[in-house]
Amino acid sequence: MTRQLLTGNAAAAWGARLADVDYIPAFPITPQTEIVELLSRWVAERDLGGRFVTFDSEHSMLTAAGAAAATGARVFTATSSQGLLYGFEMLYTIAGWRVPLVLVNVSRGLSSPITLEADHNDVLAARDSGFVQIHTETCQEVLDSVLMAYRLAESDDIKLPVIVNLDGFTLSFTREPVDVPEPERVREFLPSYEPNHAFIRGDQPMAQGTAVLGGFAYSYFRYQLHLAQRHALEVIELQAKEFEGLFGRSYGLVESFQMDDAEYVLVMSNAFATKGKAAVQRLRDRGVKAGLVRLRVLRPFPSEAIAASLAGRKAVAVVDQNLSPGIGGITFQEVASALYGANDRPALVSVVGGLGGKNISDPELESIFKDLERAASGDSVPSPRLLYTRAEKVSMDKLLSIAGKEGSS
Amino acid sequence: MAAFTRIAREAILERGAMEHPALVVVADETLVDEPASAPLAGRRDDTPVLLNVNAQSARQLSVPEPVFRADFTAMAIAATGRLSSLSTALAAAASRLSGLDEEHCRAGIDAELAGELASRDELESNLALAHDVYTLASDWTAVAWPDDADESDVVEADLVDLGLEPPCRAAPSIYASANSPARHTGNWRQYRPVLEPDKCNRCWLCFVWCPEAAITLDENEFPTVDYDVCKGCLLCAHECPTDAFRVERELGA
Repeated sequence: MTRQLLTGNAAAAWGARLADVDYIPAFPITPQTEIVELLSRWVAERDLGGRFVTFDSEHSMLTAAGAAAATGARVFTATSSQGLLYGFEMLYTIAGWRVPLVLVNVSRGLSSPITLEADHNDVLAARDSGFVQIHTETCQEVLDSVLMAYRLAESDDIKLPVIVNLDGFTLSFTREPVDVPEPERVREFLPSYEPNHAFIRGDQPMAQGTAVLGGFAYSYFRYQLHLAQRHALEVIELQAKEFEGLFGRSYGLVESFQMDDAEYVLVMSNAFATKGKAAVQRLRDRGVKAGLVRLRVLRPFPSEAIAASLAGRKAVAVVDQNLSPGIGGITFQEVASALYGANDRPALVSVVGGLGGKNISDPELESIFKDLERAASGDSVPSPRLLYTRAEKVSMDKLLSIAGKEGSS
Repeated sequence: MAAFTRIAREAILERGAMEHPALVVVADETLVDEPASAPLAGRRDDTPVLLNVNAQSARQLSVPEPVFRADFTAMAIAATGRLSSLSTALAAAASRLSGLDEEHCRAGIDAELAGELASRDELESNLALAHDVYTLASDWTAVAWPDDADESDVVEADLVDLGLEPPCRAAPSIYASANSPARHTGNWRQYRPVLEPDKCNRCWLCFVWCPEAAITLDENEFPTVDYDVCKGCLLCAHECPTDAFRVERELGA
């Protein structure tokens, strides 16, 4: 094992390298490009034995990725934002083929207006595709999750593609100390891929991804996709325990931070969960029983684990770094649904913030905890709370004025 | 702010923008007065600023002490012939001010540049530059690291409710026309293209190539550079068939 200072992007590339992938179809897009640049260099310098191929678009790239996975190759690819959406059709198609591959998505807000910085509307748009989704907080977790993603994707009782998500800029371009495990140790956890379904062999021809007419056949395959996702909840936990035994790092479906006696809880995901943990720590220093639950596996959605974790608390704020216009935060709806049947439900508050890389600031996190206290004592709070400060409104009014817009509210 | 470095022995529970830096490095003095950059945002009264100044420029900057000034650009160019070595110089000065040992600074520069530079000589000249800067900075007082106590004074955010506004305001369109020239980007320039009219054949290639439309033609059809807007990309000098653009290190912008 070596300890290196790696960006989130480099950690993702190291995950692919340690997984000894066979095939990397690639297309650059900010803030993901560093991943494919590194892999391209390693393939050129023979540090990595696979084939690296560039494509004309993300749609072609994902088609090639799925097709290669269907031949029995171990496939890695990566994209972000508009690229993920451009290849969107193939996400559903590949998941339906039941072929394993790992796609790293580096989250970036979607157009319009166009931006480069992170939020989760891109990856959450893919939430119904059939891909497993693992969302990461640290560079170490990026590398580890890529390895765990291959192990899960290739499991005989799963055979599902996996998206590993990391935030653009706040993680993709942030260097952190990362333990890079020895390849031999990785082989113990992730042996080479021996496909028993979906491969190309001369003596054993097969047709894949066939058409079906009549809803009964279609329904069978779609239900099976769903059942495999639900089954993955159990498999992910078993494999995480095995990973912990080998590498000493523990990953659950959700991560609990200061939750033993927590009364006021933040539910967050990805890199800004770190800031949520700092806020929890600050409140603990003041004697407030604060805690945080980090959503890590978003598909399959660990409803039972979340309900068990949140029932009995005084108040819970789900902080969404995404926005479904017309309803609000996306994961709030799912957490609320998970809690609906629970006894002793907490007061629930929906918060939307951090869109397009906007900071979720320490003062904003303080405000969220104040909302939680109000909600716990029965007072009403705006839900969803759309985080926006007076200073930001002043800056926005100035921008609109420069743009020639009339009126200021 | 372009980049942040956080150094701590304990776990770092921060992400993204840094609200209160312990040291601010300003690689270009012209950014200090630039509202869009605001490199001193979040600075407290005693936060030191490492400022790269142009020794030949007459610019007067109002940056309250403590400020450590040097012409790192000149040192970088003298040592390696490459403007990009400015990063090496600033890293060395920031290392010294942060209390990092010189050997760790050296190892960091080695690790950063080893894969990027064409030759061992280039790496050596960068390491020599780092040594010179580190030595220069030895007289400077190292940064006083803030303790965690000042984190407890975090107050609630001043949040506002965004009301519904009409689409002509709430869509990301710009009604004001032809306002690009109002965004002065002249201070991006490290080098200034200067036309020598007696060499110019008035082919207008520079006028065509300029990506910022910062070159116009005067009444005699000679190109004129708008230095308020010119970013110093030097495409004009590169494309000019008669080498009519002299390239000077920027002093005034």
